[in-house]
Amino acid sequence: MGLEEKLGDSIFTTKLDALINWSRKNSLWPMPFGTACCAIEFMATVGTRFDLARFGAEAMRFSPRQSDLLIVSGTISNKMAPVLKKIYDQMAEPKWVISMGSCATSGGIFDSYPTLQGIDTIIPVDVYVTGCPPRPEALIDAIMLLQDLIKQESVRRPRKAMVIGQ
Amino acid sequence: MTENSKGYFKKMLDAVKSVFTGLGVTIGYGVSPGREVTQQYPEVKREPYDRFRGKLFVDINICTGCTACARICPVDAIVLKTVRDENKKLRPVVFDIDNARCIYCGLCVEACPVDNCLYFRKEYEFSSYSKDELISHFGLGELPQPDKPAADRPSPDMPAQAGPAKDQPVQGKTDETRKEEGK
Repeated sequence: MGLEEKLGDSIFTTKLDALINWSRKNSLWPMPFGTACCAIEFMATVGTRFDLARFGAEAMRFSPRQSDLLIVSGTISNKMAPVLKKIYDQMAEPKWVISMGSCATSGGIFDSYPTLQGIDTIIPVDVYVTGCPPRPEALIDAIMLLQDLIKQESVRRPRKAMVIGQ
Repeated sequence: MTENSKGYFKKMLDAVKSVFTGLGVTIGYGVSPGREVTQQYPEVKREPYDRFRGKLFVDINICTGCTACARICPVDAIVLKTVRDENKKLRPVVFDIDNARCIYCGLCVEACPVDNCLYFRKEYEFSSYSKDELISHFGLGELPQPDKPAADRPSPDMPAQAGPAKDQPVQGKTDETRKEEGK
């Protein structure tokens, strides 16, 4: 944020890190990018039974500018790929991406010419969720994994530049 | 005029009434929530049903290496490579299951001729930070005593056919396409 870089790794910045990470990880605002059946399971996750609000991630924002967690749930075709890339680019930092389901992770059953073989070929992905579609519990598990990831970040250092396609 | 104003006030009264009707339901649930529906997931885990298809597992010691599962897999999630051992039996040297690509259809389990060799576990929490961690390796590896010609043949092929190889072509493809686009 500018100020912290002058202060160095003092107790002030580490405590600031802890505070900021704590608030970030408990107030993830997801941007649902639902293109297929995984989005139905995602709806179930937000619904009463699994209640994503328990993790502070219930505020769905359908505008990329207001959200910081992109949940790609569904098959991404080659025609949809530029849209996904654009939405990812429009999101403000800090931003995280969850790839939900087989299709988003690796193309899944659609090993065919119009389908993107994994969204990590165009945008960096933080957590991969398996399943076809995953259970709502699996998505909650992924969000908890992501919270662990957010806990380790620092405001002093920019986020590790992720290599696309690992 | 009077009829119109009558209707107007009646509508207003209806609106106020309906607000209190709705609030009555809310207050009712606030006082006694009734049945609790939310599952406290990380603490309390719901047991999946009997036929639930979770993570695939292989009992590699009883695997005959028939490759029926790899052939029937609709998404080529199973990479299976076998060699003949000294007893002329097929040995599954490489048995990789790409959980990222698996669609949990269960065709491989049906195709498997050996009982309880390939089976689903009720395990569903295996999200990960990287795709490579999602590939489960079950292969027995190379033969313990490499014979003269038989072991020479598979060994150069092995690194190319091993686990992460499934991801590499994708990466290669994208690099190529990027280069082509750049040109």
